[in-house]
Amino acid sequence: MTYNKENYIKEVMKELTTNKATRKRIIEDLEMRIEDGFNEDPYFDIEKELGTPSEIATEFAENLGSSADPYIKVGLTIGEKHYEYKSKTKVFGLPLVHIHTGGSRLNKAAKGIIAIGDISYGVISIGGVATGIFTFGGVSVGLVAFGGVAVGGLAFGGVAVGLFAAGGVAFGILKAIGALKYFL
Amino acid sequence: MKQFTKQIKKGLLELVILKLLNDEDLYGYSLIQKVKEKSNNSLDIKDGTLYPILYRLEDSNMIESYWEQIDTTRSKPRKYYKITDNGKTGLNDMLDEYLEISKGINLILNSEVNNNDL
Repeated sequence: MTYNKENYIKEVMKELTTNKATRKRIIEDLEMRIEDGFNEDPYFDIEKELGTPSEIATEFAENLGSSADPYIKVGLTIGEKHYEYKSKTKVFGLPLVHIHTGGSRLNKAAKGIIAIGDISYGVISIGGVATGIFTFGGVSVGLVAFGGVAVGGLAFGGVAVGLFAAGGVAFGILKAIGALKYFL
Repeated sequence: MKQFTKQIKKGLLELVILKLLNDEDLYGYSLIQKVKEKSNNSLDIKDGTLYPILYRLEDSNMIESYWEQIDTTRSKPRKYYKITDNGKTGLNDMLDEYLEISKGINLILNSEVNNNDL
């Protein structure tokens, strides 16, 4: 892939989790750095000189150390790289399938009819944190929710809270089934 | 080996950058070039390493940045970094520390060589 200044910086920033001020600094400095490269050589190859967006993002993340924002990784992936797939088919303006993970360093959201991501919003929603109609996730909030912690109309999980709740610990309004069950 | 080089560089590059900024105000890319040029190409600092060091130094008030348009061929001004009084004091302390440590390391390494010679 051949990058221009804008899409290169966009790709780098996709893989970095930092506070707003640091983010602004990095964007400013990368813009200036790339402009300097082009000033010196009109055929300046950004990727060759600075590395792939993943490489430079990794360097920044390693060297920022405590300057990087602490965050909780909620996604299911252990791979380092950011990945995104969005189907071209759309339903009600939403992609039929959207898969989005930030890799091991940051959380990314997927929004689609079928959404799979670190954080997911969809009719069928699968993620570290999943919200939507039919949801499956570590933390799952939906009409029908399955998960470690599930909250919903019908909730099934380790801890389940809902109108109808079934799980290890279940809090139900209409019905609760579980080892420990409570009616709300 | 890579990890060893990385660890050594990590500590020493702050010193190198402060030293270069003590000589003159520089912008990011010119710092990369200066490091390469002054070290006779033996030190090569990457952007992802340089900028976080600059941010750390700036946050600890050892350097400060300002925008200036010197080159009229550029459409935008450049961000220059300059050393502060606090940075100058820090640089002297770091230099003393560095010389003390490297003296100790040299003594150990040389004694090793002498022992091997025996």
